[in-house]
Amino acid sequence: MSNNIVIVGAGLGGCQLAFALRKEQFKGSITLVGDEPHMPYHRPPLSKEHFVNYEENTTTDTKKLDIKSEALYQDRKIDVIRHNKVMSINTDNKTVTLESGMDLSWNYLVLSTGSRARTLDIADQPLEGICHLRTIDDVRLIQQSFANIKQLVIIGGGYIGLEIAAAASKAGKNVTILENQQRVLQRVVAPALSAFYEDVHQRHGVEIACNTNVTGFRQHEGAVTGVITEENKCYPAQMVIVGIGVIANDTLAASAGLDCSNGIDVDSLCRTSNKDIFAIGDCCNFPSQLYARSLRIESVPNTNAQAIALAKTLCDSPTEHFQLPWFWSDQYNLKLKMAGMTEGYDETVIRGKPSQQAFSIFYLRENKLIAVHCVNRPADFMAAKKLIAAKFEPNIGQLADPAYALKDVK
Amino acid sequence: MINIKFIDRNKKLYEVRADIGSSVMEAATNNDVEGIDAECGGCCACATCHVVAAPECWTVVGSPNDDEDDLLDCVDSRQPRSRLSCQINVTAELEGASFYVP
Repeated sequence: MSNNIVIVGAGLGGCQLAFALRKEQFKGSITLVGDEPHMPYHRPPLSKEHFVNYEENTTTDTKKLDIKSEALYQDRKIDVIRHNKVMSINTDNKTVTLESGMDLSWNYLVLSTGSRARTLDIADQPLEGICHLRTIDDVRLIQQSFANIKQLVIIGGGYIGLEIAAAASKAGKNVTILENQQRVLQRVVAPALSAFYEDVHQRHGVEIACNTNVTGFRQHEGAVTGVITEENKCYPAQMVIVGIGVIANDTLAASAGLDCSNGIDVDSLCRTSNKDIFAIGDCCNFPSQLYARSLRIESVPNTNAQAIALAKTLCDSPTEHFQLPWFWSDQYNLKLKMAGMTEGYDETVIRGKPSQQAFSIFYLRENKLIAVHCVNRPADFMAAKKLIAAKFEPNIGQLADPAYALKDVK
Repeated sequence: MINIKFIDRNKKLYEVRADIGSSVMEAATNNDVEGIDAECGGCCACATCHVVAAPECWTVVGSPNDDEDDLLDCVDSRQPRSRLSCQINVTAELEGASFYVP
């Protein structure tokens, strides 16, 4: 008897899962449902090279962002329903109801609903020129007027904000970043790395104002003209891009009665509190053996690993995913690669020289390596991944000394 | 579209069609070539799409760019004609090219 699998969310997780299922010889029907009008596509380039390569008045070619070619879905008999939102999950009769009114039956349901951009809801009415950057359509909207603006204010000094600042300043814009914490990337990196990036951006002419809370906007005929802060200062802006994090899309799951404490709660097999419903990717909160706590991770490799493991599980070969969380961010000529989670670190060790734009920061907790952030030092990154996974307790002096190859550090 | 070949670690041969303008990595992942994982989706961030070009197509394939070179340096199985396949563009000149998965 073959099963029907419905996957809610046609992003990276949903796409990888669908193809992984076919690779595992799954013979039942696979239906991917997405609320965007596009076939599943890679998001990371949207704030990096894809954004940088905008051209005035042209529709940017987004086909090269596709994760798989359209023909391949037909070839593998994967049905894709686009621009249609799942409105409810009916656990009694195992169906989902779509916005169009269509019902789909499932034997297994997978929620790969991802996350959505957090919005700043402080304007009295929606203002033209205030943008987010999460989807292809967000980028197209920005690109429509990007060529004509000079003054850009970015709200949020996280990875998205910094990547856009790098791209925009390269494109000749005047850029200001407004960050409400003490330093950029405060949530995730050590002070030394924040200071490094603030310095690099400032050298490229980007203005960074930290400890700054945005309280309102100035506007003229419905279009934004400035950003107002708590100190009653106004930063002129012809465009505002808001990059203040994402929110896990767990409303559908919560409405269906599934446990959701930080996104959708799942076990080590990505199973939710309903035995026939699973969740993967940005939206799910899973138990991490390595960090002995639940994590919800917004990371491409994590989503890929969960999709591959779940495909095996759904084909009767229960598999726990293990993927050391890792991430990357590209700004100017700086390639930042990060592995592990920094939460709870009590010590840092710097290897290399920030002044030469090639260095690594190792994060330790109770003498064990828990994370690493590497700027233009891919060798440190590749070696450190293995050490972190092994909960390595390094000799600090050797760790700090580039003369010792990481694989020889004891 | 052009024809290219992959040979995986088990010496299995894949003869695949590749779209001009896509990357060699995409041709591999679209055809389930074993050993090409493409963890970062083609962003030159992970080195899991490592291939070795056959000698006869090396002139067309060309040398790695700087970022690619840095990552390849971290890979034990690096060879003289190693490339990260996400950085190799599929062009008409690549017709008939062969790649090994090391």
